Amino acid sequence: MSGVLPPVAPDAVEPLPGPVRRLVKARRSSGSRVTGTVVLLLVAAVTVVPITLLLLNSLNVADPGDPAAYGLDNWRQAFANGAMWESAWNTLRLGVPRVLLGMVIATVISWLIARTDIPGGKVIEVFLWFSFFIPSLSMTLGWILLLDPANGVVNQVIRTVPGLGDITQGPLNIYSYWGIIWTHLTATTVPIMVILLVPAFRRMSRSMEEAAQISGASRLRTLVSITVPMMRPAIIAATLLSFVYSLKTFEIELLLGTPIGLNVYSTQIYNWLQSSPPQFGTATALGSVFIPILIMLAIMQRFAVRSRSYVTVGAHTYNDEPIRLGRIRRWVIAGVLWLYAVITVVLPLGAIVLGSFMRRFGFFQLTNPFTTEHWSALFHDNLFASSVRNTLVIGLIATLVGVLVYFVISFVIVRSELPTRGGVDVMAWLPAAVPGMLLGLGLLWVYLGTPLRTVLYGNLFGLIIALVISHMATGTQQLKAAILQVSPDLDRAARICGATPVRAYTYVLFPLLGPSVAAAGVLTFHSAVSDVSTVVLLSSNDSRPLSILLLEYSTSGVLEQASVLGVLISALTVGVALLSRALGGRRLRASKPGRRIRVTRGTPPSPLPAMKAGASSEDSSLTRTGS
Amino acid sequence: MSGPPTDTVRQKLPQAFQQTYGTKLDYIGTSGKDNAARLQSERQAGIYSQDVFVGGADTMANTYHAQNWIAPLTGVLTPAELETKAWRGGTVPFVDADKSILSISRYVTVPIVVNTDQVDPKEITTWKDLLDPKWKGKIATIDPRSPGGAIYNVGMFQAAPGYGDDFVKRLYKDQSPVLITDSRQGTDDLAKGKYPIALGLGQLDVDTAVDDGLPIQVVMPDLLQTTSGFGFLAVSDKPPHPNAAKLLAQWLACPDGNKAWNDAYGSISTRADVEPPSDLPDWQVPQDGKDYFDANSWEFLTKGVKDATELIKSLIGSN
Repeated sequence: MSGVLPPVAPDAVEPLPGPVRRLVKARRSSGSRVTGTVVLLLVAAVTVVPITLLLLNSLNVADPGDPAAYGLDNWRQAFANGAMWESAWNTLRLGVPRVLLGMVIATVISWLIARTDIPGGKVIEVFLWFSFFIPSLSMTLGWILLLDPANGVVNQVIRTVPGLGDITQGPLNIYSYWGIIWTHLTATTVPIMVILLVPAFRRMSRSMEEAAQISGASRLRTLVSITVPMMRPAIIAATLLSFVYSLKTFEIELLLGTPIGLNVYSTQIYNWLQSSPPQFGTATALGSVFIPILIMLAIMQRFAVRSRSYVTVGAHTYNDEPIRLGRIRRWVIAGVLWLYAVITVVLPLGAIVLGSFMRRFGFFQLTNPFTTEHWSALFHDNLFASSVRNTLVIGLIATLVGVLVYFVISFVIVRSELPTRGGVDVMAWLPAAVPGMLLGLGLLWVYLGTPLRTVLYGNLFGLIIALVISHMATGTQQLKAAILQVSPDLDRAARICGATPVRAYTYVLFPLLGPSVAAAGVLTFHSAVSDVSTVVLLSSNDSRPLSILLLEYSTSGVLEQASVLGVLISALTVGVALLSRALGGRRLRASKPGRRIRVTRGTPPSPLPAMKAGASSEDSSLTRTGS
Repeated sequence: MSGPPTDTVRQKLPQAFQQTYGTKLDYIGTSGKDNAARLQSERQAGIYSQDVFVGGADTMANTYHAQNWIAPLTGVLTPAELETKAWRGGTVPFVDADKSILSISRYVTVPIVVNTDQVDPKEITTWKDLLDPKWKGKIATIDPRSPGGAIYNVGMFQAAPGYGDDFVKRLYKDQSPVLITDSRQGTDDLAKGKYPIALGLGQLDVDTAVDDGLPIQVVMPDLLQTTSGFGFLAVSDKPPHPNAAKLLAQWLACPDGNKAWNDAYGSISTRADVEPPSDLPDWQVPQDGKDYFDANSWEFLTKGVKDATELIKSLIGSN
């Protein structure tokens, strides 16, 4: 463990003679190299191998069924195709503005929810969770129902306003550049960033903000000069992950961009995979273009956060009272936030629920436009019960395994002194660099190429592993940003008091990371139950989850049942999110003041109330996280 | 077996088979492309997971048959099912010379659909009416470069006297049609008035929309084509359950099983003794003596589709 854990209380060690110190250092360094290599190889085995197989196959230019022949034709074809450059440009012109806009909106909302006394902040947070957990396909259908230029509900209401003239289309149009950006902002970009940023803001000590305000800084200056810079790792991680999400989701562009001839990176890959014969090589070549870009971003992220300390949970007393915005101002700001939540969450959600009861989605003009037959048909589908069962098994196990794996990787990256931790960090990003369909194809080849194929292929176990790998970048970055905020001094203090490493982490580190671990678990669960592209080639009749059932409804044109299923999947995920939030919060509040840590090696027993989250600032010498 | 993801097929077909034989049928509903990718990877690893395939023409001819993944059905079907008089037209509807692909459905495809609020259906009597400048930029068509039957229209124009490549250019390039990929969405958009005219829409989507009372109508022009849609049957060359494969293939070719398939799929049987579902419009039933472009002919599937795709890509670019 010498390579994984930092040395405990080095000052307490009696100085050793120089040659002995060099020998100890050399042995420790050798151990670190071995441990580091093992960790690196383990992460590489699950991330690099499938992507390497994809890259190798992108060089295979033989016709299907013929012996393999290697060349650069697929790459030439991809780069010579004007559609590729157009889709790359569309990806950037849609992705960059929405991520920057989303970053500003999400940072402000997260700060307001986590750090101020606005009324109903937690409810707004739950609303934003809900909007993220609704499948993108359903959310897009909801916005189409509202903003379709011909018969969108909102457009029909606007057209009743006198003075607009006799217009039959618009004035709002969801099938447009800004329509796509709007849908992304409300369905993915802002909600995921809020989910990632709120726990980070809550974990932040107010001491530095207080110091700034005592020194005369205004609230705005404190936010800009102290709060946001301290949140830099979390904001960068959230922005990058949001960008990656926006690259991978393609349902929004498929529904809204295709009618106006707007293709992006993911829809172009989809087109090539769906062409006849499927152009796997060309699609992989395009998919591979983003691997170096993402690696570069990962390296830049490491540089951006390594020069400073971002510890916001340290061994100092602080006041965790929320920032007071003022009696009137808090209600005004809350009103604006509530309006935002109603427009971006309640309206489309209402449209989705309404749509699930419509005989034909979006057509109010039918005789008897409403029906419950789609709900009835779903519950009577002979695959529904088994799909729910499979989804629950996949979701729960993938969440438990995923959070554990992501935590270990994040811990190694942030806390260890392993020489390979930088490589581990970059490799953990890799699964995010390729679209899910290609990652699924790479994993299919890995599964079928190993002796464990009967265990991995076509059953739930293989799907769970695939989903844990697919979500690795998000989970790891989320937990990495959280661990960066917690001072190692806290668990080191417990070690000095004689606690075993496990006990120190259980009673000190884990409670402090509770909300972030809960958020990581919720996102992993959401990803596991809603991911379609990664699992579409790996699932079988016996392992079909609800997400594949949703795909089958969507591709066979049964949008109404797809809508019903979308409502059920999001309700399931929000239920788990609320449970997780309650458990994460309880973990923070569950301190038992009289409990003592077990003492080893003759260290005098010492009570640990101060180490537990939830201790009041008056009796604590340690910082408490918000909850 | 693998087959289309159509939910009625996915639910009704296994149920009917189980009711007949008491044997559970594992049905994998997936697109032909996804299934081909899965099969190719499995076979490279020596895994053979599917007994029977039901699917579309392109995947069946250019992937399953081209890679020798399917076996002749003459060794699988019973003499009763190989009886010529049991089938419409007096021949067993094998598609290929090896007799490994059997057409178990055949219907007239949806030609032109118009929004009746914007277009008088009587205005369009031939495909050439679509070349009127007033329709420029207002016709939606399923992208003929994407998989599916939209490319068959191009092949039909190429083969028809008085049409040819020049008509293809004038319709698909000069008229600047809007290329769409989703038939259900295209049908809804047509009904909402986003486009006045749409080509290449799926039969099930149009039928459902018409049943729902939406303001759309199918127009019958001068050229029509027939297809089997997803109604092609084949058996794996290395079925993991050989007896079950035989039983299932025989059932899908016999009157009861064939009727179960066509009722679930909403299509018309190629068997002479299976009546078309009563709720299907008459125009979908191929009429004896009428001349249709046969989109199922082996020559067209293996060569014509490729030629048509090359032509369309040369006109509007690759996707």
